[in-house]
Amino acid sequence: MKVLVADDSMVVRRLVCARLAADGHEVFEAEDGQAAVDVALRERPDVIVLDRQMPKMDGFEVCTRLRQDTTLRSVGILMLTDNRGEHTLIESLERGADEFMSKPFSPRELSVRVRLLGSRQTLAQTS
Amino acid sequence: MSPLTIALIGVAGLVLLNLGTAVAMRLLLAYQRLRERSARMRMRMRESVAAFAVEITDELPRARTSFERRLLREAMLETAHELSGSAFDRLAVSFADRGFIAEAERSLRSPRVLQRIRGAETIGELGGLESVPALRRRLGDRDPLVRFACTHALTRVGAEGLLDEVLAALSEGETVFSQGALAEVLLDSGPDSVSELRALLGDPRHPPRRRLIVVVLGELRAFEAVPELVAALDDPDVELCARACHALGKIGDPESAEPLVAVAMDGARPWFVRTAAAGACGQIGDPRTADTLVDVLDSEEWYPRNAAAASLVQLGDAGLAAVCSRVDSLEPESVAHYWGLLDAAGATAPAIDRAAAGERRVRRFVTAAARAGATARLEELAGRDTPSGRYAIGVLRAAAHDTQPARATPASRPEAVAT
Repeated sequence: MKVLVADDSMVVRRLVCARLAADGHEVFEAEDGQAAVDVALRERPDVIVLDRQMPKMDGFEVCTRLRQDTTLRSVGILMLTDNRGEHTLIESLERGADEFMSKPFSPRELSVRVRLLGSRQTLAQTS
Repeated sequence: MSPLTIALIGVAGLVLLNLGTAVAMRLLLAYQRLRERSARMRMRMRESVAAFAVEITDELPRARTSFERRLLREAMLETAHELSGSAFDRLAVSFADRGFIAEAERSLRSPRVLQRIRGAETIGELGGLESVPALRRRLGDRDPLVRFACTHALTRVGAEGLLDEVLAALSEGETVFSQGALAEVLLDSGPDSVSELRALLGDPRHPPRRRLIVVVLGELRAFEAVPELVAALDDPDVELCARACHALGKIGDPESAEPLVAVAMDGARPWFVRTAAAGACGQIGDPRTADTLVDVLDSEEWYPRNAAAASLVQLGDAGLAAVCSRVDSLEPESVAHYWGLLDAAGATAPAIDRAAAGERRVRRFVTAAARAGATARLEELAGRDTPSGRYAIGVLRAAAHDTQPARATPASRPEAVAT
């Protein structure tokens, strides 16, 4: 499965990419919102792990842009955010995120969520 | 001086300048190489620590020199900051095994303030209960920032039964610490500290501390603290009382709705206490409070009225029904105030639809709002060829006639047609 990890924190990118690469996924990285959109359009990932706060374009905006693109409408998006508040959760879901996780995060939980999200998207595309 | 001597001095000067430049260039290059090497090493450390944390390897990178050891410690701290669950535990155990916690405890005894703060922060990030005695010893530190770092670390490592000591360490020279900083320390102690906070709330000797505790109990959504917070509603400290209202609203226990309604209606209370109580009723969402909130909606003071209007909007249908049932006795500006907030919540269009569909009570409310000047949404709908649009035209005409009473006659009032 192709997974794009978009986060401006290098520490988070290293952690997420290491876990997902060990799970056998093909992993791409982006360190800001604009790069995330560019890589997503170029690589067509199955799942995107998206940070909420990023330079150039925040996670919400990236979500909206990706959902506007017909070829990326069905990509699974997991929003990873510093804020576990109700407002952020609701806005994430309204902007088109499928899953939500707050930092600090458990890599094991993230690994399972990405796998399930990918399977769900694959099922949705085939049915 | 002969020309030859001058020429020789010039040549010697040029040679020295060249030599100096060459040495400087070499030093600069060496410094750049060192920086690049340390950046590469830092990156390698981060990657190795990440791989260890997510269980790809069982080995942490080796750190032979003190510089490598410092890089490893920093990489482990910054990585742990982003982690929870088993990955965090794995890092914390290895961090202590490598002797970093023991080092941090030694730093707490350093004569340098920054070292002591750094030691406390390190323990707070990745330490455990074993470090509690070392942190407690520094609660009496002469430097307030060290005391603050130690209290923060104590709450982060999950030390229980020490909140009184923590607050005492921070209360000396209270101006140094903002209420927000103190709240952060208490919030970090988490839900396990609720019973301790409840006990401390009963101690009347420290009013600022009690106000802070009330806020923290609300933020922690401490359901079990509702009895103490309800009791605080009758406290002579009115600021404590207002904060207790906010806290009860956040907790949202329906049992606290009745005492809050009593506070909202008590004209002897300051306006900010009544405002807080009315606002809390909306957060709790108990429909039984709707009737009382309508009474507060007719308040002459803006803030309580606004809080009541907002709470009625939060109550949804129950709030609308309560306003509709008493719309004839309400002041026009109270109706307009409620309508304004209802509109901001996107709920006036559905109300107009219901009125257009023939719901009598809602019709009376929409008409009253239009007469009070709240016509923007009706004007927007009036341009559409829908039942609501046609109804809106009727209401607007009626409202216009009502504002020109001399020319209006009951028989000719278009509202009669509309209703």
